[in-house]
Amino acid sequence: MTRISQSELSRNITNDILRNHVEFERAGQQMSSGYKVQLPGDADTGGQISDFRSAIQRLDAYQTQIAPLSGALAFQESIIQQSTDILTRAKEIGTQGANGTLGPEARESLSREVFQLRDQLVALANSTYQGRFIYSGAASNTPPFSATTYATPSTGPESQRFVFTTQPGATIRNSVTVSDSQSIVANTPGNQVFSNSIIALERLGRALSGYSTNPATGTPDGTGAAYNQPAQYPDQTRDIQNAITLLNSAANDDLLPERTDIGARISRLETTMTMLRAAKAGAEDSLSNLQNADSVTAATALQQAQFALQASLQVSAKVLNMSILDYL
Amino acid sequence: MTNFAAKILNNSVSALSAQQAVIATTANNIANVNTEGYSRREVQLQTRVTRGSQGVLDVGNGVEVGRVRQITDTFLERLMRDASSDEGYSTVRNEFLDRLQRSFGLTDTDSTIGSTMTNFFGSLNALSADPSNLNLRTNVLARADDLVQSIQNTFSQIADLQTEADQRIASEIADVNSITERIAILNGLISSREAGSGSVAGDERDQRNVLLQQLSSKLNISTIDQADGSITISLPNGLALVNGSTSNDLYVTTSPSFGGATLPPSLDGRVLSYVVYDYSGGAGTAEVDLSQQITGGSIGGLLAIRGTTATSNTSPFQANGALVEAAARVESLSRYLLTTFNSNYVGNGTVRTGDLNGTTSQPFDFFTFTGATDVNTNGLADAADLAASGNGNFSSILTLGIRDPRRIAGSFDTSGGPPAAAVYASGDNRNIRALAGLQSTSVTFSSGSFSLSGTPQQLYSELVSKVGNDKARAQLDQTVAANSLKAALNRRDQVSGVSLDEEFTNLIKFQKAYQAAARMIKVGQDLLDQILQVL
Repeated sequence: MTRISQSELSRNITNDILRNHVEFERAGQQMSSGYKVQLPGDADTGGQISDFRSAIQRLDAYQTQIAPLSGALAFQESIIQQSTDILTRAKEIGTQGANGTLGPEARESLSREVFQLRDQLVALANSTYQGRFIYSGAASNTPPFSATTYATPSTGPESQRFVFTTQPGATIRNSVTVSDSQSIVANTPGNQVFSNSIIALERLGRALSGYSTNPATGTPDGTGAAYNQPAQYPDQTRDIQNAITLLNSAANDDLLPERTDIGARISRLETTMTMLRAAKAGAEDSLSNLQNADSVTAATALQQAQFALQASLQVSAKVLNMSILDYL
Repeated sequence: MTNFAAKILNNSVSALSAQQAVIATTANNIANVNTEGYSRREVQLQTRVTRGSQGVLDVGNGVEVGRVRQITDTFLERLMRDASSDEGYSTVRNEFLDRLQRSFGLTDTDSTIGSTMTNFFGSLNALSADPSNLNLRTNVLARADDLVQSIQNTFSQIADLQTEADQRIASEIADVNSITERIAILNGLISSREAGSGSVAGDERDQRNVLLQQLSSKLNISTIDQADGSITISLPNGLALVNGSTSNDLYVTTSPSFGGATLPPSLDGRVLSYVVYDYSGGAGTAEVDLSQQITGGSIGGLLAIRGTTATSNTSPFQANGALVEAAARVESLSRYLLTTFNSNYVGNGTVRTGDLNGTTSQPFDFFTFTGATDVNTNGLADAADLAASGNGNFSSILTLGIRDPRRIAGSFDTSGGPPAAAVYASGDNRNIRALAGLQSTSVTFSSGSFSLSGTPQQLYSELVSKVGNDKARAQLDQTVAANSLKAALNRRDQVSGVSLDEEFTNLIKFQKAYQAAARMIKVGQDLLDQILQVL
């Protein structure tokens, strides 16, 4: 026969009440905090939870990264669009100027507009985004294009020759990491995008205003001196036509590919953003499954724990009150 | 002729006195119903035997108290002591691991190494989009500072736990010495009281059992019952703690006689103490290490969690134990920052890297540690630096080398390399990108005997898993040990504990017997009165 002693009875009852209290407290905490796992020892999924948390933090950081980057790329796209428009307008003027019926004076007046267009293009190439020059590569504190002079003439817009900066790092393309596996080039050095266009505009302007051009690079149009009119009128016409060819090749070989490239990068960014959102949603879902208390389950558990605690309290009151003394 | 009337009186008187003895024992049982370790007593009654033949008219000689029996089961007592030992061990382990896991919380609000590290790499990535932006640069330094702080805090929390365990061992050993001393005294009392008398020194035995249980909740001991009633207590290696009425003290020392001049440092740079037995009686000249012998009870638990280390070791990470294992992982991250990160920061020897001021970066520009850095000028944080620092770890002295956001070396040299003077473009993000990319680069993390190949985040989640699994296992062990201790106590109480119901039932039984015996005296008196009246 098993003997139940007083100390065993009270030990068992105290134990049961305490255990039920702990369960009740735990269920209540899950309910109030919303977490079923708060500390690594609460489940064997601590490492996974930490991984998911880190992944979500990282995906968030990438997403924050993408917004300014796609802003910058959209801005670059509009710059290239405007530059293409400038070259198209310059071609129209050039074609008009190449007409053999136009006298040197009429051509010179056309050159004013071409130099205006040139200045606009230089201004576009020297654009800044958030205070930094877009087309200076890593030398983003220096404007990519600045004016030096042609030998002849020494004044006026014809004398201005815009050259790409020689600052170290100006030809560096910066890439930005936008996801664990992808990075996007954020800039193109200005010499690759604008140098040919600017030179073409300068040659067109000079030819129209009556000067041959001897550029830093490329085939010279004579010696850079003024045309001897009327003897060199055909040379002037030839140089205007050459400049139009240069404009065409600058638009087709430099601006068009750059525009296509930026468009591709913008669409890659969008794809990446969609992928990041999906990845984040997936990670949040998994994290929630691992860590968050399901409110229905938690509420049920709390209810059960409460019942168990109440029952053990009632039972102990009954059992402990039972004594032979009451019957003697 | 036999005088039956006198017989009636005699027998009844013997019954009165015997029932009184039983009732007194019941009273004692009831009085001790809540006394820890009390084993209930039972009076064994026996028929009284007288000398000489009573012939055919032997009606018996009444009753007498045989002996007072103490209801105990030495097997159950032993079982209870073993369970106590397990419970003491697992409780202290569970407590420390619970406190350890709090440094690695998993909720949004916890600022852990994991979250500060991800934020740090995130800030580098953000800076790569706009490398000369001073706000982003300041942010990188702030996040790096957070990371350093969280590494330092986590490491010092672990080190504090180790120190606390170490200090608790000393106070527990003091308790052990006081308990063994009292057991030795009780041993003496029991053997002198029981010697030759055949009686049982029940109260002393009860007290000794309580002390034995207390002792085994602190240490794993083995006991041998001696013929004279005393009990011999020895440690697992056979060393006697109590032998008869003499007890041997244990000592806790940080300069054991078996160690050299320099002992391995603890995580916080002190020395872990050694639990020793001193053959020179406290003079400290002939000590034996017991630190690795004590594997049970709360002291065993404290030693296991704190870690034990051979005196010939030199690094705090050569000790064993869950705290040291966790600390080694944190330390491996500090070493990663000081070596892998730093050498990438200065361009890995393939390219020079520089800051917004045009200054070429040097090893220990970014992450560094207080004290003399790079004593052997190899550009690496290594054992030589650690030795020179006088600190056993880098984690507690890790700090940031630069505070000026312009000083972050984000650019690669564009000069084409030495001998040309280095040139750095302010908008160059290549170094920043390379550094941000380290978060997904697998390297080998190591410190002490710990080694793991993976990314920094993988290292951290391995650490979290390890701490979590240790804690979960300790919790399970603790629950099992507590349950088996409860079961052992219950089984002991089923045999030795006092049941009030039983005592009261007995009380009624003996009270009735007493009343009946008293009535018998009345009957005897009546018989004698009858005779007297006739006369």
